[in-house]
Amino acid sequence: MEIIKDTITFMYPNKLVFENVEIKINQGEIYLLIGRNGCGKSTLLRLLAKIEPYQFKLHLVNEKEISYMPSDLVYYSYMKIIDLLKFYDDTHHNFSLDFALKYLDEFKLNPKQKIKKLSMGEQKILNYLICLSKNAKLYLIDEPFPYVDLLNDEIFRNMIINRYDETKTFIIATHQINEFEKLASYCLLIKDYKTIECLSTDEIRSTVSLSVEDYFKEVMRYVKDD
Amino acid sequence: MLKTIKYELRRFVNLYIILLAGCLIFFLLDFNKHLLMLYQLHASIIEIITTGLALYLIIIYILDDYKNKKLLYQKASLTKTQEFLGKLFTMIILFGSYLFIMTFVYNLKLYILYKHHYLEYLRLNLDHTYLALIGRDFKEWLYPLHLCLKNTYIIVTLALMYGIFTKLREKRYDSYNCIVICFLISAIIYYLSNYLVKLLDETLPFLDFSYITPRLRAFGLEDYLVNILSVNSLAVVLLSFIIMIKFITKKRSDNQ
Repeated sequence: MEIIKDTITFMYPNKLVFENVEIKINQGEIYLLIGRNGCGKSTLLRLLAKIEPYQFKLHLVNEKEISYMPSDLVYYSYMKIIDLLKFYDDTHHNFSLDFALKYLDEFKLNPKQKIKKLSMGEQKILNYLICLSKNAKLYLIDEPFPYVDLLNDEIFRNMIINRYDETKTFIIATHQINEFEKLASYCLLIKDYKTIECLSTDEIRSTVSLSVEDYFKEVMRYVKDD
Repeated sequence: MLKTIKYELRRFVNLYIILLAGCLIFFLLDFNKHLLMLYQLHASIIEIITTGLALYLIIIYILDDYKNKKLLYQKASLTKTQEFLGKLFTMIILFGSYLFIMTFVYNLKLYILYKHHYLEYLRLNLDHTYLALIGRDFKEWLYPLHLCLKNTYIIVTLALMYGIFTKLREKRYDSYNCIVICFLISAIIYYLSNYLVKLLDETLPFLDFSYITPRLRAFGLEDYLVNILSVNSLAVVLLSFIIMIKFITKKRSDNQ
């Protein structure tokens, strides 16, 4: 069942990002959003999250049922990790503090640590933890992996698997395609401002006998030459 | 709304404590008791810090809108009105309480001097400082309240103008049209607040709102026009400044 089916035209004052691009998202799938730097991956997530003033037609999903993970951490400077989690628990009805604390322990983060003193990797982990601790229907995750070590990568994937059910949809924008390839069922490839291609990951592997990452490299090389 | 106030107060509590500590140090300093100018200066400093605090808070909140900090409340179970009112009350609580504490400490110091040394001398020479309340009648103790109301009026007007401006921009209005519309709306707010003060004056004369500020006491049409221009000029300048920053520093979508 489709939760999003729309045609987007969107521009910043000096840059056209999308022009009549069709996008279709099905419920209960995990999508990888890939494309070159500056092609509009983060913008697309912000549009879907309704942060930019653009009215996407959402079906089956309420605006408050979207969980968006921005690429940088949002917090007030006085906050410790536990303060931030309590803030979300207090102000977001679908936030699960128990879930967050359980994984906080697995990531070996000290809840009493000041957020501004966290390393880049730890900030990413916290951001990711907050995003997945919400019981949402649509998860929009922007660049989850930079700065994060291999063991934590594993926990990340487990978290998604634990959260996943057929009513939940994940869209993950990333450059580390290999990390998510096995998890994702579809791949949204932003070729240029006019085209977002939606491909099944199984189909890519079976028909062209390439991994998603290799396929992406081939396609982008072709687009560049063209 | 209470939840927003709780977290927003915690956000600024450090700054607040620093300002209060400054206030106490200021109280404990042993100034030359014969230099009355210093006491007049102190009263001005209190006014400036209080107004500065209020403006600082509103600028911080406006800048939050252009950073990712706005995302903190984006998908929260609070409505936008609850968030807006929570932040507005946080500002009023912070600068209002600060003004009252500062005024109390200032007057305590004057009172001690008044009792021990300078009776009539101090009293007569501090006449024009709004914050020196020693030995006067009940009505004059309301000066800080009036000052607080004046600041609240400016803050509420600015906050509303900014809120309206953002809404209008979202609805695709040109920014210059937005400024004009905001200006007109703030003029209406000004008119209504004057009317409210007039009503208060009539219904609660013992509170003596006649002292509130000249700008809120003007009831003639001519006075209105002059005062609207003067009161709103600061707001319009600030707003224009913010719009300028917005267009220089932040990309925004121009399509729908």
